[in-house]
Formats: sequence, C-alpha cells, structure tokens
Amino acid sequence: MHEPLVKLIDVTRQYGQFTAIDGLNLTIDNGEVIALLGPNGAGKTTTLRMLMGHLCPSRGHAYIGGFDCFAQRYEVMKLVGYLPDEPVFYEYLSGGELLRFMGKMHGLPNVQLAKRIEYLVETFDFADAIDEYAVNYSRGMKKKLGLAIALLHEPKLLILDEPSSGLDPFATKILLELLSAQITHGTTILFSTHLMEQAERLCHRAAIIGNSRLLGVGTIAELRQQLATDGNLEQIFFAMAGKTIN
Amino acid sequence: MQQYPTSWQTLRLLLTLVLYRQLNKIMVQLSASKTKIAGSKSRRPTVGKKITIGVFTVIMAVVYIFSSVLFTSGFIRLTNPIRLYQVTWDQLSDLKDKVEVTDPQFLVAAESIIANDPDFIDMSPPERAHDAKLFAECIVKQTAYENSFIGLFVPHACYPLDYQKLVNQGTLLALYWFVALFSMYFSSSFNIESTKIDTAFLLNLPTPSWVLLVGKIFEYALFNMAHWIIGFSFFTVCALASGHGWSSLLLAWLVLAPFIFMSSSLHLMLETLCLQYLSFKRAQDIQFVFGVLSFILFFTLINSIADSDKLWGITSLPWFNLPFAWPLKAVFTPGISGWLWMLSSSLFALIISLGCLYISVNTIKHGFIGRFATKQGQRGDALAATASNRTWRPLGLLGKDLLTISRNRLLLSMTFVLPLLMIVIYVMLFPNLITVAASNFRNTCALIFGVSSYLLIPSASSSLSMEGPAIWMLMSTPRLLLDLLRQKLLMWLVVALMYALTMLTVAFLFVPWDTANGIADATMVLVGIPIFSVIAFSMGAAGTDVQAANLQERQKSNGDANMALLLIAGLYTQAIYTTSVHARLLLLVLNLALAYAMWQRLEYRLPWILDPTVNPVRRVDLGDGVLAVILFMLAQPLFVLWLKTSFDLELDKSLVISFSITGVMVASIFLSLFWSRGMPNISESTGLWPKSRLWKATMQDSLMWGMGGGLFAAMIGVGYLLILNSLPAADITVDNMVSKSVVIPFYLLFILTVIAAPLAEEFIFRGLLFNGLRATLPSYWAVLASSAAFALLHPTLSVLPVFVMGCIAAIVYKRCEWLLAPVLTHAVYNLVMIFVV
Repeated sequence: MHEPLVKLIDVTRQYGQFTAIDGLNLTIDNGEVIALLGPNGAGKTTTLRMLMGHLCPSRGHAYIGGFDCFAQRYEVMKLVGYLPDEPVFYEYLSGGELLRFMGKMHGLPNVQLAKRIEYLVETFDFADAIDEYAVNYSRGMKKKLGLAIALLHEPKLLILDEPSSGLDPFATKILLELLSAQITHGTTILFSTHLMEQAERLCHRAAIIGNSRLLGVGTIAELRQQLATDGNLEQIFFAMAGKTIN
Repeated sequence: MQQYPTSWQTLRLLLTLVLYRQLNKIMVQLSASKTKIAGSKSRRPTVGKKITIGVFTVIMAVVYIFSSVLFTSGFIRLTNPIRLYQVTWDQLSDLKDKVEVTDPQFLVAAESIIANDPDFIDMSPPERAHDAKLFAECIVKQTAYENSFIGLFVPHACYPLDYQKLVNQGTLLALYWFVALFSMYFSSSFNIESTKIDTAFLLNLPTPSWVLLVGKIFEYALFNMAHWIIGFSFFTVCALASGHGWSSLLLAWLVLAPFIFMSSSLHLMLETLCLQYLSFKRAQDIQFVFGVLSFILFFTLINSIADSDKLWGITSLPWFNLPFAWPLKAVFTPGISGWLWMLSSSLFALIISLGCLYISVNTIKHGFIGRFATKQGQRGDALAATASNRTWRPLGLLGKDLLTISRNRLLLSMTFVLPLLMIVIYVMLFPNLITVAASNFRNTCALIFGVSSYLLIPSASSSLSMEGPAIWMLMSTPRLLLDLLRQKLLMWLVVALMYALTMLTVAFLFVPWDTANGIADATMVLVGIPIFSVIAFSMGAAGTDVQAANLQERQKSNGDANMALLLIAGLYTQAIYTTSVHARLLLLVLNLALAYAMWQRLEYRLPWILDPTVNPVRRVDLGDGVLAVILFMLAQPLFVLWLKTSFDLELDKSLVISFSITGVMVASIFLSLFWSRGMPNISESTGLWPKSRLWKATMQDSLMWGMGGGLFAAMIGVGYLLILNSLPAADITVDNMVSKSVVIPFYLLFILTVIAAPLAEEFIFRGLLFNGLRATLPSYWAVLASSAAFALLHPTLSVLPVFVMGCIAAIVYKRCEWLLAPVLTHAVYNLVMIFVV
C-alpha cells in the first residue's frame, strides 16, 4: 500500500467559539488534482492554511509527505509551493528581487536559480514588470508573481488558494494552461475555488465543503451517483451546499 | 415615509460609532492583547468580561484622580528645597576617603561642609543647620547601603527633591510639547502610509462633510491619552506653583480640554491637506524631514533643561504673550486673572478649531480627489517608480533587509539615521559629556554600552515588523523562523559590537585606565551587548503584530517593549558603574537569565505567529520568574521614594511598607496577567494551592517539612555565624548581615522578616522563578539557580547561608507542592536569625 501525499485526519479548527472546519478527513494521492469547493466562509482558506502550518488544528492532524504540517513545517515546506488568497509582498522590492530572494531561501544554487527565473518570467510573460515594485502590481500581476514564487523550487505539491479570483479572461487562460502543464508534469495540486466550470475542467476529484463540514468528496461521477442526479458539478454543488445554506 | 437624519442626528450617530469603536478597541486590547481577533471571526467579549473591564476602567480612573491628588498634596507640603553644588560634592567625597562614614566625626564634618554651601547662604542659621543635618544623614545611610543591592537605588529616596527645578524643567518640556506638537504630527503620531479618515464612506451618505470632520476631531481629542495625562499633570503642577492651591486641578483641566480640541483640529486640517494635495512619495518625504526636525527640536529642548535654574523667569519672555502660550499664561498667573487667561485661551482655541474645520471642509468640498481616492497598490505614483538595479545577484535574508532599509526612508531613519543623529546631537549639545567620559574609564565604558544598546533597540523592533503581512513568504520556505531571526540578530549584533569596539579602542588610547579595572569594565561592555541584543530582539519580535497593515500598527506594542528595554539597558549600565562586585554579579546573572528566558519564550511562541486566536497554552515560564524578580527589585525603591515624599515617613518604616506593598503588587500583577491570558490551574501551578486534592494531608506534610526545613536551615545559619564570629573583624560582619547600620525597631523587623518577606519572596522565588525554571530544566538545576538568584539579592556576607536556606525551601516546596511549606521554612529561619543576631 502506498502512502498518500496529503493526509487530513479529523482536522478541526476553532476560532474562539466559532468552528471554521469540523472533523475533516481527506487523503490526496501523488499526482492527483483536487478542487476544494465551497461557499464563502466554508473553511476552505482555513484548511489550506492549516496545511501550510500557519494555523494549528484545534483537533486532529494534517500530514504532507508523512510530516506533521504544524510541528514539522520545516520539512513540509520543501515539498510545497503556496499561493495565498491575496498575496501581499514586501514593500520596496521588485518582482525580480522577490523571486531571487525566495529562490535563495529555498536554497537553490545561483546558476540554477537564474535559469529558473528566466524560464518562469518568460512563461508568465512579465519581463516588463520585473523591475517594478511588487506592491504596485495589479491584482492579476500579483497572482502571477505569487504563482511564479510557488513554482520556483519545483514543488511536489501546489496549494493554491483561489488561484483565478480577480483575474481577467486572458490571465485566467494563461493560468489554466500553466496548471495543465504542471498536471502533465505530475505535480499534485490542491486548489480552492468557487468557479465550478474551472474545477470541472481541471480536477480529478472534488471535495465539497459547506457549513464547516466535508459534504462529499470524489470524482464528478461519484458525486453524481451519490446524489442520484446527472447534472454537472455546479448542480451537484448547489444540491449539496445549498442544503446547508438554507 | 423614509426620513434622512438631520446633521445633528448624524453627528450623534457618528460620535456613538466612534465611542463604540474605541471602547471595543480598548476591550480587545485589555481582554487579550496577544489573541488578536481576525476579521469576521471576531470573538465578542462576554458580559462577564465587559463587567470586569468596566470595573477595571473605574479603578483606573480612581487611581488616576487619587494619584494626582496625592501628588498635589505632596507638592503643597514641600518646603525648603535643598540644592548642592559641585564644590560641596567634591569636598564630601574627599571627606569620605579620609574618615569612615560610620564614624560620628564624619557626620559633624559633613554637616559643616553642607552648611557652608553657597546655596544655603540666604537661609536662617537654624534652618541651614537642620537641612545640613538631614543631608549628612542621607549620605551616611547611602554609604551604609552601598554594599547591598538596594544601595543602588535607595539613596535617591534620601535626597529631598528640588521641586523648583522640576517645575522649571517641566516648563521647558511643555515648550517642547507646544512646538513639537505640530511637527510631531508629521512624524510618529501621524502616519502617512495609512489613510486615517476611515469613516470616509459616510461621505456617500447625504450628510454634510463637516459632520464627518467634527466626528473625527472628537475622536482624535477624546482618545489622545498621552495628551490628557501628560498635559493634565503638567498644567496642575504649574498652577500649583503659582499658588492656585486645590483649584489647580480644575483650572488645569479647563485649560487643557480646549487646547486638546484645538490641536486635534490642527491635526485634522494637516491630514486633510496632505491627503488631498500630496502624492504618497512626497508626503513620505515630508514626514521624514519633519520627523528628523522634531527629533532635533526635542533634544535641543531636553538639553536646555539641564541648566534651567534661571528659567523661572520664563513668564517675562516676549513669546509668552502670544495667543498660543495663553494656556501657559493661565496656569502661571496667580489669582483670578489666571482664570481670565484661561477663558481667553479657551476662546482662542475655539476660534482656531473653527478655522481649521472651515479649511478642512473646503479642502474636501469636491470629495477626496487626491491620493486618498486611489488606494495603495495601484500602479503609477503610489510608490517610487521602479527599482533601478537590474543585476541578477541572489538575495539572502540580510540582503533583502538591507535593500529594503536603503529604499524605505521611514525604516532607514528609524534604524540607522536616528541613532546616529542622536549621538551627534548629544555630542554637540553636551560638550561636557566628552570631558566627563574622558575623565574616567568606567564612565566611558558606560557611555559606550549606552550608545551601542541604543542602536539595537530600533533594529530589534523592526526585525519582525519589517516582514509584515508578507511573512507568508518566509513561512513557505523550509526555514525555521527562529533561525531567520537569529541571522538578523547576529547582523545587528555585529554592527553594535563594531561600534563598541571602535569606541573602546579610542577609549583605551586616550582615556587613562588601570589594568585590572579597565579590562573588567571593557569586558562588562562586550559581554553586555550580546546579552542585551538577545533581550531586545526577543522582546521586539514578541511585541510585533505581524499582520497589521502598516509599520506603525505593527510596532504599536513595541513602544512598551522599548520603554522596558531602556530600563533594562539602564539596569545593565548600573552594573558597569557600580564598584561592588556583588552587585555586578547579580545584575549580570539577572540579565543573562532574562535573555535566556525571553529567547525561550519567543521560541515557544513563534510557530503560532500567524495564528490569530489560538495561543500556545500559557504556563509559568522563566520569563515570568525573572520579570517578577526585577519588578520586585525596582519597584521597592520607587515605593520608598513615594512614601517618603508623599507622607514624609521615616526611611525604616517606608522600607517595611514598601517591601510589603511591592510583594502584594507583584503577586497581583502576575496573577491577573495569568488570569487574563487564560492560564489553566493558576493557583496550582504557582503553588498557591496544593496540587493534590487532599489538602489536609498536604497541610500536615507542609507543616512538618516547612518547620523542619526552617530549623535545619537556621542551624546552618547559626553555624555560619559562629564561624564568622571566630574570625577577626567580626562586629562588622554581623552588622552587615542585616544592614544594621539603619536601626530598625524590633516590631518592624519582625513584620518585615517573619511575615512580609517569606510571603512575598516565596511567591516570587519559589512560586514563579522555581516553577518557571522547572518547566525546562531538571529539578536540581532549578533548585540551584532559583536559590542563587535569591541569595544574590541579599547582602554580600549572608549570601552563603541564604543560598542554603533557598535550596532547602525549594526542595521543601518540591516535596509538598504548596507554598505554605517554604513560607514556614523562610519564616522560621528568619525568626531564629533575628533572635540570634
């Protein structure tokens, strides 16, 4: 039996009296692409931040590559590339400088780092903006830079929080192409979104979260079977999440 | 039918909003300053907590009023300030070298020297004799205390304060306050980066803009605590000095209130103008220039306080008639005309406020069309255009920090420019400083330590706040945050050490020094800087709220930390100054322990840095222990000072009372701290209540072990005394053991040593320090270390038996897990000792 890459066991997180996510169990295998679906405030970001070791689960454990996400953050970060919901960058540093800084922090050798940055800048097509301060970037540009930073050290797992929110159709297209390339490359991807159509196009499996609980997880076909409808993911989502909203 | 509220109703709504927001802010800060509340997931304070906070606020208000009344009464009773000139001091030190201070001859000689002081000439002979006697006694007492730690602080309590001089200095401070008020708005208190008019959304409502702005003025005025507190005490003192008596309190308040409203309106006007007409970059430049200017101003004025003896004539200066100085005029003019000046200054303040309001309203007549309209993060002018260099050099953590500092003017001025500027200004303003420092190698060393540690404070507080919300980037790299902080610490330590070494080299070349002392002093400096840097960085990082949007917000609680750091640096400077090896050792050990404790606390806390609501479970840690010891040590002399000046108590009584008050105060501060941070099982983990439920059995145990331990320790103590007595110079040793040079009546001695000391000291040394040490160290180390700190706080000759007693008390406590046992041990030991001695 092989060990799954990501393992969430009974993960619960409370903010004071408020329970953001309750008893989440989920495993993700190598090379899988999983979409985390759910309405606003369902606990998607909290889940991802617990995987990143930013937050400590109130109960249960999260593991990536067999390492505890909170206690062994150091090991986990070698495997993971992360794009936050709204990436905030250091003031007074340009995009290029940020890439160089992050590469150095990941311990990439200089020559390899230079090549990698060159490649990413070309792929993302932001050679023009590379010398501008990152805080001046538009929202889409910030997302692109964040994604470039996440991909810098060629991680085994990408954790993306709402990768396409705030992006225009062009940027979204580029993003999707990039992610597809990563998928064929064998990278495992966990991303949260509320765009059904996009999720359906990319993911192997979807996990639907509503009202702080995992409502269902599986391939689109499995979810369909579970609900005995033959709609698309959007209809499944409404059928599952809608119940809890009302 | 829908009806829009009138302007007045809107204003009332707005003020309620402001009030609620500020109260919530205070509540959140009070209820859990570390558990920051994250956006929508806010945890509303419960009713119980609200009541607690309400009670707390009332208590604070009562304390505020009570202390100002006490201060007032103390001030009114003051008579005959005593001043001593340098000549007299030199003569006295000569005398000290020749005659033993304990010798009655010394007292007589000192009295005659002081009575001939030129400053006493205008007093009547009996008065002069009385004051001289008083002062000579102070000197004798000070010298008697010199060998014990408390000697570092108690002498200050002995000197009658020179209130006239204090008032003069206060006047100059106020001058600074007036002038700097306006420039300061551009520097620290006025933050260009953030757009403060956060109620601007109300402009979308059909409400005239003046309503919004008036609301803002009220917000600035009502919640400017510093102005209310500083201004109130300052004006009160001035009014008292001009003979207004008890009505000074009212007069001061009436002068202050309109003035604060005026300054708030000015603040608002400047802010509106800046937001409307200046680009971000330009505004930041202006802020930088004004920041530096007000800094220079501050130090120029502070410096002139040094020779403010003649400043009482301040009222005759021409600027005193300018309307801006009318509040000062009101409090300096005695009698009814003072009240008239108060009225005119209020009227003037009102007119200025209205003028400012008018300008502000006109500035935003067409809405915010300046920078305010564009949020930060847009392209273009928001930040300086682009980074110029296009090299592909890799960028490590320190490289990134230095690059950011070189580009961000605010950070640059905070970390590099201001400390350097401060040194330059000091040297320019106090040419004497160089002469004094150069005359004595020890003074030079103290100065070098001061400069180097001052450099470390701003860099320490910027260590984490520089990262800010972008810290997720560091958190997603496979590096431990603690290691990264260590790197930053090392960099700044190297900078500070380089400064220190350069200055030490210069000092070794130009200042006369003798081998033994010179090397010891220089070592103290070089050892002190790393210790201090660890303390500064741990406290700076712990006090940072990384997730706040702008730099000032992030460093908000660093203000307190910086005050504490200055105090700690001062404490260490004392260690360099003092001649007593004992005091040096104690201060070194305490600082070392503090550094270790703070770093440990940071390490424990750091993984949770991005977690807004959950904290690691609070436990009694070494930091609590060390802080309690330091607080206990520092607060005592302050209380002695307070009791002496306010109630004119004798030194002996003040000592006993202050010891007890400090004990209770430290205990209640720490207990309420634990309680507010939600620590589980407080009384068990501090030893106030036995851990096992069978408290009756534990009581038996504690009685037996406590008494037994006390008798055993007392036996060793008596044995030690017998050995000492068989040695030559025995009389002095016995005297020194209990600081006999100050004769304390027996009943006071009994209360102090058998009741107050065991209770206070056992809670601090066993309940907090021993328990804190136990959390990370093996028990036997905890026993030894806590007893060592305990023993070092006692007079030199009693260190050994007290150390043994401390060890026994710690072991007894460990056996019973209830403080009753070591309290008994301590009480029995002290009882036997006072009877034997």
